[in-house]
Amino acid sequence: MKIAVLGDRDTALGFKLAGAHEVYAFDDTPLEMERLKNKLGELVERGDVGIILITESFARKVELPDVTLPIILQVPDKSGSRFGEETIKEIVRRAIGVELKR
Amino acid sequence: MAELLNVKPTRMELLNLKRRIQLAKKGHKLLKDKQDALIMEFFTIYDEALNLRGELNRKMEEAFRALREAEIDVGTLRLKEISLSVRPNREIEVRKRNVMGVPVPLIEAGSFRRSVRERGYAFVSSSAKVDIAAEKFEEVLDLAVRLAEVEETLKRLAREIEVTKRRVNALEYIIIPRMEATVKFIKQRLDEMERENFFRLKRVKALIEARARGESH
Repeated sequence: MKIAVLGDRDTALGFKLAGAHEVYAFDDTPLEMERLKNKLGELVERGDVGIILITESFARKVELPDVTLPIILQVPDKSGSRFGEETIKEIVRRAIGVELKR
Repeated sequence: MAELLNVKPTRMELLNLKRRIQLAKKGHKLLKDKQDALIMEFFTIYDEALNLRGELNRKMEEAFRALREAEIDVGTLRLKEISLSVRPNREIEVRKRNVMGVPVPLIEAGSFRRSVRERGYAFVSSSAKVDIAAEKFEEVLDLAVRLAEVEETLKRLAREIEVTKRRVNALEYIIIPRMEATVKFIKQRLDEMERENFFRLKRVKALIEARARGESH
């Protein structure tokens, strides 16, 4: 199955260099977000995509569909990660009921 | 006091209810065991997920730095051109695995790292910096694929734990107490009927004796 990447220009460029199968770059405008949403929907529907990598800042702006396949993973963008560990902690909080500090 | 079930206070219902309570308790114990096992599994994966996340963040930073250097070296436009001629990397295989009855993904993928030759862009137009950037992003891809598997597993386990927790609590705090209260109610009701009957018999006996005494006089 394929790996798809949705991100800003630089992220897209980087993953393109690494040889990710489908890479789409978007700007941070409302119109582009609409395009991003459509693309995301299409990739989810298509069935030959195994993993979708989406940058965290974009993932905040669109609703991520709740599907088992493809797997949607948020990756940091060039400004670094702000939500990555938070997301994992949130999952734990919901499941166990307490936050864990290690 | 717990709510009562809507049943008739008969001995039959009492026996039925007792059987149902036993079944519910057995189910409760099983679910509780399942929950414990799930949580244990969850924590092993949780540590792994956090570690991978941290590593991915670090690698990503490195990769962007390398990308910037490559951009400076060959220019934005040229880098874009180069990226267009990169050959697609290998594909992945997503399978399913079972953890305590929860289907979780299992991603099979070889390493995405490859030699400069395999990437497919021309050497003349690129530079060593570009190679480094590509290499870094290949490493990121490796990590991302592993993290995708782990994080998705974590999410699914969490969802299952939530559902199990709700079921365990419903059994423990609502369904079992309700049935027990109903059993108590039926027992009291049957005892009450028993006493009433006993008293009635006594009364009838007294009446009969009184009548017999009246006739003999």
